[in-house]
Amino acid sequence: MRKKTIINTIVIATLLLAVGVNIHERWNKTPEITDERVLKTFIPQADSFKKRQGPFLYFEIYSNHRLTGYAFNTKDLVPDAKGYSGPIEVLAAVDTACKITDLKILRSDETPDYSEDIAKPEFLGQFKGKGPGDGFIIGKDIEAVTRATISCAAISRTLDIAVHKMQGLINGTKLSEVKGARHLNLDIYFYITVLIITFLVVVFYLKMSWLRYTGLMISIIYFGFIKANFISMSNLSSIFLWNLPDPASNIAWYVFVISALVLTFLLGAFYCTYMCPFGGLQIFLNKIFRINIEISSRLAGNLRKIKFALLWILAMAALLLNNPNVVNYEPFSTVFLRKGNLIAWTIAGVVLILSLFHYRPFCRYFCAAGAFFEMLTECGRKVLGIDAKKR
Amino acid sequence: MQKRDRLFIVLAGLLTILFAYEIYMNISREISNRPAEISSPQIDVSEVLNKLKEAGLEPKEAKYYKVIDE
Repeated sequence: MRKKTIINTIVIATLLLAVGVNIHERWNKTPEITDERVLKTFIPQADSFKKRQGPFLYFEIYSNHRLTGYAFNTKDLVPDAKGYSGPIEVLAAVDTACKITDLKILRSDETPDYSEDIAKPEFLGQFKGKGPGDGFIIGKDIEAVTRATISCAAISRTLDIAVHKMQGLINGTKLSEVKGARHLNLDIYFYITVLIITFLVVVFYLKMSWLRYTGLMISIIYFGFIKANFISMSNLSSIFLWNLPDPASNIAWYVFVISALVLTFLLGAFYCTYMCPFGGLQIFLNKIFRINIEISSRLAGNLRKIKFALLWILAMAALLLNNPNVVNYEPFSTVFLRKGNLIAWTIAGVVLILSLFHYRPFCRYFCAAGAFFEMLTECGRKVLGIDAKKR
Repeated sequence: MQKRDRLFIVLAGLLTILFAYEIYMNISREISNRPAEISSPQIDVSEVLNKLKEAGLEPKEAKYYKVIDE
């Protein structure tokens, strides 16, 4: 048997095994505990709690033997609440008038760069005192954390529905009558995203280099620095683990991701060549010095294997730990969100300096998401039967 | 092997080590933050906090608690 066949068999077998482990873990997952011990640390001034099971699980809060409020895990009231990378659970306490008194993020699969900020009192504190009938609109009533609008909107919407449901329970209103309807939100970002992607498709067919650079510049500015939209291994893992944001309020994100996948499958390397803001940034940096240090094709071929090895390792890690955030290693968020630890900044610095002298080093050798897109391109080529040179 | 090839091997090796460290840190953070530890049935957190207060200490609420035998 050839060496390549053995490696392919091992890769496929281990990935299938990891998928099996992931399904097993999801099947046997024990629910998050919201018991008295957690509640006591959350509301230390309370004397006792009474567990209640109505249409959903909640706790009555007692101080000096008097009912002072209610506590609940938003997951029990709004099970479909999802942030950018999956479910968000908030432990909330309300007073007897259903006004929020305390909040704590119990669980979120958001990227740590985002989740650290949304758990801070600066953001959560804005909800204190709000109840049914108060405004929960992001940008108007609540100030979102910069570049974490999806997560903030998810928390705000969840709390809005939860306090209405809680009030409905207290007042004896039918739960079907309480607030909770969702509408598709075709906001300005949706139209801008559609417009830019349409422009990039036109650029792809016209094959004019100045138009391509214009398109890349738009991608860097809008998808990179303004919206921080890029496809990283975390995003791909979220998609395959089905940890997706709420489509009703994040339609622009869906347009971006679906366009990237479909256009790469149909047109070949579309995302990496035209849409990726980090790829574009490396191209522009390489244009500055016009000095291209080339390495031998043998070494380049060997270095290219690193990104495929990373793709396999990270896919295994995401599946086995069932968390897309563990595979976050790319310098994308460090550069576009300007957030990261010392290691992340060192990686970003080395990659960007290297880009000055070598064409797209990260894309060519280290981008696991890029390796996935290469496989998708190859898959599209085989399925559609198109010659790579004709694309 | 050319000089520039050697330089690239060093740089690629350095970056791979940094990536591996970043991924290792992510994984170890995920393992230590598993929800099972948040509300371990063996700990009455409020009791521990009260005892610390009684002892004249000023305990800060921790995000995670771990039971250490003995």
